Amino acid sequence: MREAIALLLPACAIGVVLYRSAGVMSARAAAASLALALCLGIGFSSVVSTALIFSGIAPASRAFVLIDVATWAIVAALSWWTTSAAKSREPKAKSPKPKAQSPEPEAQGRAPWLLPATFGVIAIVALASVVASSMAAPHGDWDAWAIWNQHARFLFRGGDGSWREFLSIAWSQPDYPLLLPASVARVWAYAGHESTLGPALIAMVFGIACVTLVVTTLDGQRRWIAGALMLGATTFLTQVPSQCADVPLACFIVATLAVTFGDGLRIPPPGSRIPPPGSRIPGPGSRIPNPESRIPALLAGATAAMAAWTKNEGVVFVLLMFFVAVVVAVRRRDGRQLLWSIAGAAPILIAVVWFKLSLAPSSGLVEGQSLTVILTRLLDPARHATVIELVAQHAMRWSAPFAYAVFPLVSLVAIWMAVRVGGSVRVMTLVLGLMLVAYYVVYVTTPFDITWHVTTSVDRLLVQLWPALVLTVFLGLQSTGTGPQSSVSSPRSFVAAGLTWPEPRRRQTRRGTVDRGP
Amino acid sequence: MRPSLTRAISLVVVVWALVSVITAGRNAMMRGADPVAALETEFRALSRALPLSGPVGFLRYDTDDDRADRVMTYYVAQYTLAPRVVEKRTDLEFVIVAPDAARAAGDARLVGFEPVATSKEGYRVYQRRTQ
Repeated sequence: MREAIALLLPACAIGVVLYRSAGVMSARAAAASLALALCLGIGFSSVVSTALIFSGIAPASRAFVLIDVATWAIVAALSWWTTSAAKSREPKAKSPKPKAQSPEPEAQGRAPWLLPATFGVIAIVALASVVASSMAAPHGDWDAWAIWNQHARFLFRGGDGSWREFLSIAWSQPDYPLLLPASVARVWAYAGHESTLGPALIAMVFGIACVTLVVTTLDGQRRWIAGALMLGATTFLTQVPSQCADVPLACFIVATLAVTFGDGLRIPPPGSRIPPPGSRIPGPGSRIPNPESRIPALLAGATAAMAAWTKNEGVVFVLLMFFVAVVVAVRRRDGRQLLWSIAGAAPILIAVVWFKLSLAPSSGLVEGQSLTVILTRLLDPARHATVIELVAQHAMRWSAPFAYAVFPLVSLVAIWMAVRVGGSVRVMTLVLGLMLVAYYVVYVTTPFDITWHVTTSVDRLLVQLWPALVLTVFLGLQSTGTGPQSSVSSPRSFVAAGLTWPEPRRRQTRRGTVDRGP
Repeated sequence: MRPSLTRAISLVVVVWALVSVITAGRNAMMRGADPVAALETEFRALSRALPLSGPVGFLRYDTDDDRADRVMTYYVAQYTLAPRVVEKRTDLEFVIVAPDAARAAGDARLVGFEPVATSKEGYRVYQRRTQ
């Protein structure tokens, strides 16, 4: 199980920051932190591995593992030291009480255990299905062995510099970023051989993290239904053991949105004052926990950048999230959080830019394309009709035979929530909607055969957005269900609070309760 | 939304999810043998006859070279033999030949080559004869 140690080492080093920043945690926050630490660990360690390989230290050598272990030991020690220093500076009187920062909503109904228990059964069966798939196809799906694990083999075996040869294999998408291949090569380095367990374990970690992040971001019984909805979509579930990069990308997208707009991590910034449960929040200004809160902004920046380091589609996501952060900074006239987000993203984005500019050949999607050609394709109604027809067909059949139109239906609910609830839900829906628009434009302007391009990829593109879509819908439902004090309308995250979007109109009802307008 | 409607929708989602994951689990357990693993074993047997890196030739199928199973064979050859680069050409020192790739009555593309390694299922490595 050296593969598991390889994954746990950076996760523990990063977990020190998350755990020590939050102090005493609820079980829910601990689960969220663990999931996030594992994803961030894989992401950051892939950058370290890429740097080592690029500097001539082969993953098959003992030096690679020794340097990697030393790196993460230093990171853990520095994290411990910096968080200890921050805690010692923090006045004790202002320390938030653990119970106040993680109010667990009381379960409702006669059998509050029933829904969590049912979700537990669903999760166990889903995990068994993932394990069975991994055992049946140990090398993963077509794209896994033709692209991701193949690149990993080049990185692992090509210690003499021949790893660069994969950049010349045009059909193997050599322009794809290295998060997944470098992570697999690193796990193999720890294992000492190319075990099929390594990539399978990474795939499972990302799948479990996706579900954990959604479930822990939400409150009450809804979280179990959200988790069930996520796993019930068989297209998503079957992509988890595929060892492709779509579920990892989905994980980084949902992690960014959960950290930015959600409340699940419950990482109070040093010195923040958390309102006690049930208290009204006086005004927009007091919603901000602490303008100096660094951790959520750093985390959001890092996870968004890791989306771009995972797959090219992630570049669109990181640009959209950067735009959101800029809007927040401008509207609040405070750029500190934007700077912290950039600081979190910088190490990863440097790796992305370095890879794209100095190593990767141009993408097949843009090679040979000119503005005239792109405009001609964009103005061709036949191409639009073909793409719409194919995407609609696949979207309706997504997760069939047991689901019909599940993705379009959940998307419609998200739009409804965006209109009804506004706030974070509206921004999240907008981000996901713009991602879909970007995918659509790529399809319409593709230099490849449209039918082939759409039919071979659209299901996986929807998988990338599925966890984030479920989170968006259930954050919206949470907001409508729990009234104005919900976590969505009073976000802990500074970024969410900074978006001073128009509040949904509130009216005083005859009974004197506050109700939301349409 | 009314609580009764919420409960009904929740019930439908949970039951649907349960049925879906059970079906997915059953399908996963009924999955057949992995063709990639089988092909990998074949090409692994040939790797000892090949140089550790550099380009290696791969004989195109005489007909239907772009058929899915044939594309898979070529791709798995590359996957197995990395960091060598497997290219569909025959002007190299070594050429990999799949059992059904060469023409039956002597293939002109392999003139000047001799077989140096054969796998269990008949995949071969041809090496250019020294002059």
